[in-house]
Amino acid sequence: MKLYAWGALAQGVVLESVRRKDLWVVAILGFLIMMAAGTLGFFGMQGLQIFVKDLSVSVLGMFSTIVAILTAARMLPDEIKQRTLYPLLARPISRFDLIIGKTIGSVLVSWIAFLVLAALTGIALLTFHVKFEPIMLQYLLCKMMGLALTCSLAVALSAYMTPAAGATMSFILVFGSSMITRATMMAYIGAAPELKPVIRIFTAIFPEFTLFDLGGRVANLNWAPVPVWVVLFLFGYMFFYSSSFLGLAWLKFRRQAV
Amino acid sequence: MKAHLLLISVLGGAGAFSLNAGNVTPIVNPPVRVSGLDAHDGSAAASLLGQFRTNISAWLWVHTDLYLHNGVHMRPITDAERKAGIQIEGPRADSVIYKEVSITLVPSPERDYRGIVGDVDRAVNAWKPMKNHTHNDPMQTLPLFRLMTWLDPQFIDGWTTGASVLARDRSPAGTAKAMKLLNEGLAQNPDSVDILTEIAYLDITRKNDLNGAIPLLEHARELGFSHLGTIADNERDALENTYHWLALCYRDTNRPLDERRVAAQGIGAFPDDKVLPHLLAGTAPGDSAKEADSMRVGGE
Repeated sequence: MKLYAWGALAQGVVLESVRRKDLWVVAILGFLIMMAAGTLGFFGMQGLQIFVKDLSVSVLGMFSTIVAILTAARMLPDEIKQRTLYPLLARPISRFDLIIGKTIGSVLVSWIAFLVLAALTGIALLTFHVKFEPIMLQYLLCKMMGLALTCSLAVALSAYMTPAAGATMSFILVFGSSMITRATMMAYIGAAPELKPVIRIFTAIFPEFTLFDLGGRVANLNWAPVPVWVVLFLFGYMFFYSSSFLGLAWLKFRRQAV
Repeated sequence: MKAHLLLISVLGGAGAFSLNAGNVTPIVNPPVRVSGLDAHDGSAAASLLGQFRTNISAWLWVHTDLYLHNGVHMRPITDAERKAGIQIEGPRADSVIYKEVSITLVPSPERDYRGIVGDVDRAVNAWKPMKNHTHNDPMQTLPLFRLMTWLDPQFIDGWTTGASVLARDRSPAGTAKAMKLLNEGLAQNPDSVDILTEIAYLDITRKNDLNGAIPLLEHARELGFSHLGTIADNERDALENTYHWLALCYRDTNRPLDERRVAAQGIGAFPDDKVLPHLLAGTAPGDSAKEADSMRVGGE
């Protein structure tokens, strides 16, 4: 493993993101969150705590996912389009290293964006004396694992499609994951017997991004933290699917003419 | 020859239409939703803003249900699930808030074939067994009703349900708060059958003031009956209640002719109603203040 090379590539992605002012967008979004929270203060926070927490975790999850997808989906195509791939490949790194390093970079960018937004949201909510329970820490951890999985998916799709198509498909799969899973399970009940195994296989293969979102437990009161085995399972789930997505990206990218 | 006939038909039709133009009733927009939104006719920005506030208030409306269940998402049970023998996960028998025919969105273990992934799904989401479930205190949702009626003052359900939540406190103070909210809603929606009927309902059940309720119910009946073909569903349910309670009020104030007149008109408007035929026949004994609760169409 070329950890040094991966680190250097990841650092390049983060610096590129700063140079492109992507993280400024995050800061502006954070400012808007603060403004929105101030508007809600107009109604008085008494009784609105659950609503505000619910809104906050929804906004956090949505914005950080958008940043993750938009960062990850354009990395490889941009390198090819701007011809900056040649000097990179002239160095002693393989295409596999390139994919891994770039993905780690996009994961770091999405994590930075997520943590900045989380901190700003936390400050905004603390000013209104809205308190979070210990499960908030698990929410942050699981969401970060979910963002890593999201970046891997976007990288894989961008290897097979144009950046715009890859990003769009990623949005559909990540934001629609819950709906697709629930609809499939509802369809299973009334499905013909010969169709049921097909639905089971689909459900088993389809990645459930919604598993990484503990927002429902965070926003509402008196939900206990999830057991440790669940967090470990989610880590394994993320690792398995991320590896699969990056493997698919490498299968395409290793033979791609640049 | 054919052209002449066609021309005569068209002119005749146009003449007949112009003579009856005053009688043409709007069939697209129910009268209650129109007020206050005239700006959308000429301004795209106003239209967009109107849609935005309506969507936000609808989103808040959905979330009140979520907060009452402490974050557990519920959904209606499907016909296929009923046929498959899946039981609803309804509220406890002593719960008076809802008549729920629903199950949890995240499936319970007996409905889930995903094994450990299903277990993780239940662990990370706000999920718990919901058979005979209880609700959070509805008073927690009051700020949401305030917010949704501020965003969309034409959202009738926001006013009436918010008032129902307040009126669960049967003390004079609770009733006064509910009345205040409803009167605010009525000022924004003077043509709402639902709000008028809800005010009358509180007059009957909380104050036992039948004579105070009758003019409100008569006004609601007139409004509803004049727009019977175009009325929105929630207003239609309210109108059915209006007929029940108005007939009951007339019965209990010894005005049998008015009772039968109202019951007969109500049967014409709602032929499937089970209560009005009894009131028409004068065979519905009882006390209107107590019956109002049990006869409510659509539930609380």
